[in-house]
Amino acid sequence: MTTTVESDQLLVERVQKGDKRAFDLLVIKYQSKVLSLIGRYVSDVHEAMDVAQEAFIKAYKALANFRGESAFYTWLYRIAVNTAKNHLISRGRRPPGTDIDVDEVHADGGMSELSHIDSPEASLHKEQVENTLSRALEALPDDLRTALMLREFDGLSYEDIAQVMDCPVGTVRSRIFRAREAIDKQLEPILESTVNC
Amino acid sequence: MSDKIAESLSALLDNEATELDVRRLTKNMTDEDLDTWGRMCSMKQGLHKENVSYESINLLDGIRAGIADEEIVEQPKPATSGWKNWLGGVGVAAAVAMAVVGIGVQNNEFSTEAGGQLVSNEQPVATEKTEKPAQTDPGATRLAAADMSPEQYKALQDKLRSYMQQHAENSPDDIVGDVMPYARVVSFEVEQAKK
Repeated sequence: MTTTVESDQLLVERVQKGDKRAFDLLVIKYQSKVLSLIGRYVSDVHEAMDVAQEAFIKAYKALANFRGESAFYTWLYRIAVNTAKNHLISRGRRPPGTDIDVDEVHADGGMSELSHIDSPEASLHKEQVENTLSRALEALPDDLRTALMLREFDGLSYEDIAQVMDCPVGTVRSRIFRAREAIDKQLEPILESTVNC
Repeated sequence: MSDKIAESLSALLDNEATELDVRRLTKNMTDEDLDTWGRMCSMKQGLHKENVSYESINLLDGIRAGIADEEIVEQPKPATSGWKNWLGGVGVAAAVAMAVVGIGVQNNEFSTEAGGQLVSNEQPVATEKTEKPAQTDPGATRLAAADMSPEQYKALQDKLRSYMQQHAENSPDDIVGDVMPYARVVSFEVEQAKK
């Protein structure tokens, strides 16, 4: 199997070669995180979404100069924080004195100020998603569940999982994909409500 | 959606995607595939109980509109092979070597002029400083390290450092290996002369 590189770096390199579809993948991957981060500074959801959009657009424009010296998300995080602070200043509001640590933002318990994340409906929805995930994971055939759990919870590479499960790497890749596909069928109906910008 | 696309998305999520996967994705994926990618990302966040909203957020349309007229111009990477590059590297290496040797010879002149012997490190530097002006050829344009003002010395150090940096960046590895030890020796001598 070809040597793998960090996915983000592969996508960044594609974007740097002019492939905007690769940027779509980065946006979708990080939009929730960026929105959650910006929600620490801007509490109104629609305002936060505007700021998040602006942050992604700034990131795209600056991507030609991104050299991969830090992780893509760390770099994007700085852009998002600066965009949020500038937004507050432009509205005559004072940004918080201390920055939020990149590792703390998405940790469990570190709630965003965003009203739609804090609302009882959102909490209920979150609980529903997590329960569905647990049930779907339990319902998976053994080989699919083991492969996915070794990847997600033990952080093993496909190659390590192949050794543990005594099967080819291609089989691991396929099992993990089929596990996700099965879970997705359960998850899709409850991930429908869309917040549009 | 084809299984190949979905499998590539799954591998991408795990940092196990290859360049081929990424090329396949960006060439063939549809907006429906992007929705699947979004749910896969939510799935991962859910499994890790990250504190994010699971409401499907649509920032993409606005971002696409915002970058529609933007084109990323790929930054040219410096060529790493070819005879021109090699020749350039050799040229810079030769220039650096000459600069280094020039300073080295200068230092050796100071230390050998008196007795034809190398001045040991233990010899008081003050003696060397007092003797040198009388021995220096008035027509010479080169400056001895010990005669320089701190500003001149610093300027020379900076210049030498920039030469060395340029040399290290441009020259082939095998040449660097040959010149660098001598450069370090000379640099040490200059430091000693300064003291």
